[in-house]
Amino acid sequence: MPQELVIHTPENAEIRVPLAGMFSRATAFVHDIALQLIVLFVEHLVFITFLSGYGVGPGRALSSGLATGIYLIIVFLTIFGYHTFYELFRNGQTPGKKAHGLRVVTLTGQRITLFSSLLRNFLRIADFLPCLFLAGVFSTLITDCHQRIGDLFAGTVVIRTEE
Amino acid sequence: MKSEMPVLSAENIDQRFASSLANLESGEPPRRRQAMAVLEKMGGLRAFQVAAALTGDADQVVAAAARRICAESSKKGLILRNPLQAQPLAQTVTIKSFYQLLDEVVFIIRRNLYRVVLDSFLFSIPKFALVTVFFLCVYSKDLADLLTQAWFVIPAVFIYEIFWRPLVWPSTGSAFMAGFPENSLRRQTTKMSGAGFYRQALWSGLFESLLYAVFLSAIYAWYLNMIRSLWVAAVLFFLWFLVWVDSSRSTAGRMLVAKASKNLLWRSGYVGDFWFSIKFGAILLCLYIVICSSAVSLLWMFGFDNLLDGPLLFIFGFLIAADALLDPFVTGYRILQARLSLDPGCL
Repeated sequence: MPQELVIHTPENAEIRVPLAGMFSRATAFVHDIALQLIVLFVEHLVFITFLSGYGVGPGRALSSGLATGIYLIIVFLTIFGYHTFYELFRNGQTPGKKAHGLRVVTLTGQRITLFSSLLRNFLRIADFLPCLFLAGVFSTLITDCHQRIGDLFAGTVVIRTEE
Repeated sequence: MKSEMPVLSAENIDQRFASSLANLESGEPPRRRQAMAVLEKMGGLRAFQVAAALTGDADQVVAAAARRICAESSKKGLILRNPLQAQPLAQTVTIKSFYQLLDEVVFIIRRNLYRVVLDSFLFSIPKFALVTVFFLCVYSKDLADLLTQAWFVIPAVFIYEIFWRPLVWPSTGSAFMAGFPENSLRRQTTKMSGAGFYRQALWSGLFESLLYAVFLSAIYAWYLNMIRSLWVAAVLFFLWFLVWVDSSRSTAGRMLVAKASKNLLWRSGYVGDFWFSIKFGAILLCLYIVICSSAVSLLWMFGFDNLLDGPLLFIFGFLIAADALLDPFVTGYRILQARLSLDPGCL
């Protein structure tokens, strides 16, 4: 019997949704990390090709420092924007979460907002402390709705979908 | 020649009624439907009372049987003064993957978190004491010398594994089972105490305990350079693991069996699937790494990094601490796995 998120609608109806456990969430996260690494690898290859072949260097259209800066911004967006992008535009599901039947919603069961998504994903750093997400695991264990620190601040939960 | 009809004694009827109630409380549709069939055959006021509470059951077969019982009872003139209110059934979700099975273990632990943590802590005191001794070795040469005495350490390992481990099952195990959603299993925890159960747990887990003790002693002997290479320990570990896959579940299964006369019969399911055990081993390895690396990070963050330059024995200290923390999870996993694989007739 899973633990549930109880949502009360304005019509005074009660909807119960099963919450995702930490092992399902961890597996989905590993899935997403693998995809991110593939994307980062491809970006790196493109950057190297671009750097060596086209308009970069002294006297060219783009200086190598600027190209490196752009590359670092793209890497940053890939690492931190990946989850936010999918959570906003794919109904709370990153590819890893979709593969494992999970979804991020707000505590009222609604679609996650841009601010909530940014907050929960930036606070992954706090969840990572002191090493390898122990704080996140501990927080998931003791909170009522299995929320990690990022979820607590953003007011979100991860639920199981029956798709 | 007269045919003799079997006459049910009052005691038999009571027993059948009690077992029907237990089956109704279980979450398994076949058992609940069978219980309704028994109640329908039995009839009477008690069956009417139970059926009245189940007319709105989520299982349509159970609800239809309940309505039939109520209709028959009403025809016979039975009336309930205070109609019983149906309790909403606990929502169930199918466990579709191995990771959801592990999630379920955590959910059950959380339902009785305080007792699970308390029991687990009490019965892990020897482990925590050992970890403390390991860390104090930096400050006391006598303690460090004591830990290199094989005559002291190896018997201690054997005594712990063989005689202390069986105490963990009825304590942490029963705390875990008290978090189960099924009433019948929660009631089972009351039987898990006393010398009788200790003897059962001792015998059913003896082989595993012996192999585990031998494995730990082999690692210790390797540390003391008594065994020059690790292959002996690796072979022993593999042997222990193979035995763990099958025989070790007998303790978990024994805890769940309500009818002492029933032989344990495993269904195909989670048990018998070797890959599940391999996956569980991999998950445990990850959890050990998370806990040990976090402990090292914390020591470093709080300025105790001088402790990290200690002897190799320190790694064992971290591992034992992680082992103590993960004990309720492992116990819970094995009980849940046994519960899912056990023949329902044994429950």
